[in-house]
Amino acid sequence: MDIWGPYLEHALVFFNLLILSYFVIGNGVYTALMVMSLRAIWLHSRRLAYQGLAELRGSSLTPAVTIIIPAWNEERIIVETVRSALGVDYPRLSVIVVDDGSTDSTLKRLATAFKLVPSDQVYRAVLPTSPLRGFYSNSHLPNLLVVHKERGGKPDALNAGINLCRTPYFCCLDADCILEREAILRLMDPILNSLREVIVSGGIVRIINGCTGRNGQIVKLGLPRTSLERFQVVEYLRSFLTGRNGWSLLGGTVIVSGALALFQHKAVIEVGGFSADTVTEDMDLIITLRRWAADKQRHVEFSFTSDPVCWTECPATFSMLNRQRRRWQLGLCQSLRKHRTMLFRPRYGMVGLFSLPFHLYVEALGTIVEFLGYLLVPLSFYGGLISPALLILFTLLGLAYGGFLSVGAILLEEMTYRRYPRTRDLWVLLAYAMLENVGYRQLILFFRVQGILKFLVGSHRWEKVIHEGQSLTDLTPAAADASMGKAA
Amino acid sequence: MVLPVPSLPFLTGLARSILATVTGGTLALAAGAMVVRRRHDRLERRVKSLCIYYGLTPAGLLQGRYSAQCLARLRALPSSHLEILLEPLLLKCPAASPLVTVLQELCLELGLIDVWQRRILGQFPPVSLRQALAIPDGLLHYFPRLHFLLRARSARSLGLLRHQASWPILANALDDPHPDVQQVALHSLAALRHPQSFAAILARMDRAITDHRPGLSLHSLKAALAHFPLSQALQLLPAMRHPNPCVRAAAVEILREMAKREPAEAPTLFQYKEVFDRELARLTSDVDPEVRAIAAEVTSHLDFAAPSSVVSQGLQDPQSSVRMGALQALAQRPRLLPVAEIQRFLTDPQRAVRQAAMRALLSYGREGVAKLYEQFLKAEDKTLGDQFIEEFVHAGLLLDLLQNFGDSPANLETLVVQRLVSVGATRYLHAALTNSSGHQLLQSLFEKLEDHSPPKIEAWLGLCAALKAD
Repeated sequence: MDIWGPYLEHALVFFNLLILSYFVIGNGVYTALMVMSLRAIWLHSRRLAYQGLAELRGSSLTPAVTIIIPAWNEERIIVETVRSALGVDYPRLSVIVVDDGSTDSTLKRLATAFKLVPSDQVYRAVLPTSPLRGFYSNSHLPNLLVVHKERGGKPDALNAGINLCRTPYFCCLDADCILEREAILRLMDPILNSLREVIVSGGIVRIINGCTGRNGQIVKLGLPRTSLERFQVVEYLRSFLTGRNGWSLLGGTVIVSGALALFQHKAVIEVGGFSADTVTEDMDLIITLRRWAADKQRHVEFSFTSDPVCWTECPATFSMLNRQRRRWQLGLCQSLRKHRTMLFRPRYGMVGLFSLPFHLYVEALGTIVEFLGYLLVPLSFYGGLISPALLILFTLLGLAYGGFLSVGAILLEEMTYRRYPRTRDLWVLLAYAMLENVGYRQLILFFRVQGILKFLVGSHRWEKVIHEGQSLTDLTPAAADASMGKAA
Repeated sequence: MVLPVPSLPFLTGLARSILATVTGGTLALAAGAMVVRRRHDRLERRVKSLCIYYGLTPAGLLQGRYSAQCLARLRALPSSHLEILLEPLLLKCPAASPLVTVLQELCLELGLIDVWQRRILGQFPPVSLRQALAIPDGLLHYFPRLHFLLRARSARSLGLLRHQASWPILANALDDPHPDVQQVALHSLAALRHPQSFAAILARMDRAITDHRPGLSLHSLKAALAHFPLSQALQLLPAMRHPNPCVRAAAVEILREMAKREPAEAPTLFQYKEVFDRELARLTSDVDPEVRAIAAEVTSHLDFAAPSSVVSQGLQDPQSSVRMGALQALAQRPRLLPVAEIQRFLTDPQRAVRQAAMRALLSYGREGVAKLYEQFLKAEDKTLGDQFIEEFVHAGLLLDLLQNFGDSPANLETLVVQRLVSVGATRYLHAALTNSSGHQLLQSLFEKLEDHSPPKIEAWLGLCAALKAD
């Protein structure tokens, strides 16, 4: 044991330094992103006062857009999602719903709600997909097409939609999401007004739990009831308002949420559509497009704006949250492995030199470092390698810094979009932002470690998150009336 | 062994000071959020009550309720306060509403239009920090770097008010140092649609293309110009003769969009028929294929212009996009050329051209449809056959085929249905039958099938029988 003692001590010292570097790099970068986002979002929110959405809406040159909604066993929400997509304020819009071999009554509900009848379309499989079973449409709703196909997974369903898409841009929308009326116009704005070719335009995803809607639109905003959901509200705000916005400002976007993103059709076709290589097909596609643009020397842009909003339901139970985070972490690791040749390569610019290495070190490896830190730092303390004062200070600093970043995101929200109208909601959000690092962060870390373990054992299972909460069923007209009546 | 750090007290002190800073920062951010919320709520309430007090509501303004006394009180308010009161009304006011006129008069009386015009010209009165902090959005007035936000807002307000006299200032703002101001000025000019501003925007587009002048995207410029009435199209002629093909293409595209948007206005250009005929004929033989393609397409929207010779020229073009444009023009204006001229494009090597030809033929009515059927029966290539079927489905011809099927053994529809069955396209026929209203068609079809019973159709007969049984 004495022989191993010095080695163990060295290893612990090395590990403590690793934790320190992870802490400094991670928090340093996130603070920088927050500061940049603070300025950019504040300016952007002021610019909204003169944004020319009416001009876009009225112009005959505004390109047509197709919303593609892949759905698998989404009977509970699919009708409202399609209703919200059809209700989007955009001059030339079509909606394609791809029922990916649902075993529940997803198709039946759609057929009943929109009076669909079987129809036929000639299908040209530019991107290979599993076989199609049929098409459904309604002559009174010419911009809606429902496709029924054999189960092939989400990327496969999206590719089927892309094959049927006849417009220069398409928007992917998750089947459990509600689009805001002007979301597509807002996504299109940077595409049309940019001096460079924009091939991806992403928006922000907010949490619907606790809100009330009618006819596919949110009519009353509120915070969710449970702590687990409220922590996620804070987390989403931080992630979208500071994280993704900051990366976009640096030109290093590698994640655009698949729940709401507008893509250039021909560019996506050129890279072969969505791939089933990873379980986070949205991230994979963005990195693939980045690689393609650099390899082909195409000077294209990837835009992210924080005002196009889509509302999604977050998991309300630990088991579903676990599934979601496990999948995200697994997808991140798979994407990093798939695109490892881009790492540290100057030809891939900010993405190759900074963004991907950061995601590798802080988001992927950092998960293990942080997890082991919770085990080894106390060990170092018992071994006398860290003084008690330093241990306590370091722990407090970690907690305080996390709170600082989350509270910063709340301030950003307050200075700009102010979506939650009640002052009480702000107090609640601030409290949860400060408490997020005590318990919730560790829980998420535990789930992410499971994702890494799944990656290490080579798992490739796409785990579906089943929403057990009532938040989305609250969007049905009857529930909305009841809720509004209660509020009145 | 101890950690390789300078010294423990130093490290502890450092960590302690960072912790204190971070904690202080967090609390400051939280307090900031609360202050922002309180200020906003208070401002919102105040604006609401002041609007009611001054009669600044849509209903109040339309009824002309603002008295001389109210006007005098409003005049006493600083312009930044007035803007806050009027901005919600401006943003919600529809373009053609009579409220626009009332608001315009009010803004003129209150001197706001003058303030906005001066701001666009870059004339900002000096503001002390104290004054800036006392008014909402006061920092925008204090920091010159943020003045662009006020310039852009002012340009927006003038556009929303449709203040025609402001067009020269807005046209001047197309060269503002900030792209946002350029963009908003462009939108406002498009909203005003002042005839003289057209040339200014066109010149800006020219500079954007030829000098690569930054700020405005080509799309924005084209969209703004296309928003003008078709009567302004004459001003596009110099751009249509420009040496740069991008300028020529943009000019023809603008003409196309103008004509598409306001087809009823086309006669206003009738007196210039010869000029447009000549220009379009020249552009359909332009060196740039994009220009040729759009020019060919323009003919479909300008009823008076573009003789058949222009379209014929487009049809001969080696570039598929030009042939496609000419065929699209024919789809919009059938009878410009005889059916036989189009028929040969049904076997064009380019799929998109074939599709345009099929759609052009469909616009000729029965005569064109008959040609389509004939060509389908002749088609030996599977891809071509599939494309015909796709167009039959797209145009809803299958029901027509089934209705006329079997009227005589050799009629075209019967032959086409037999061919469809023989190539295995029964599912399309089946879907058409299922979607047809009532069982009448199915019944009559079933009888006809029993009468004729063509050998190739037997399998499908079984399917139909099953459908009938359902």
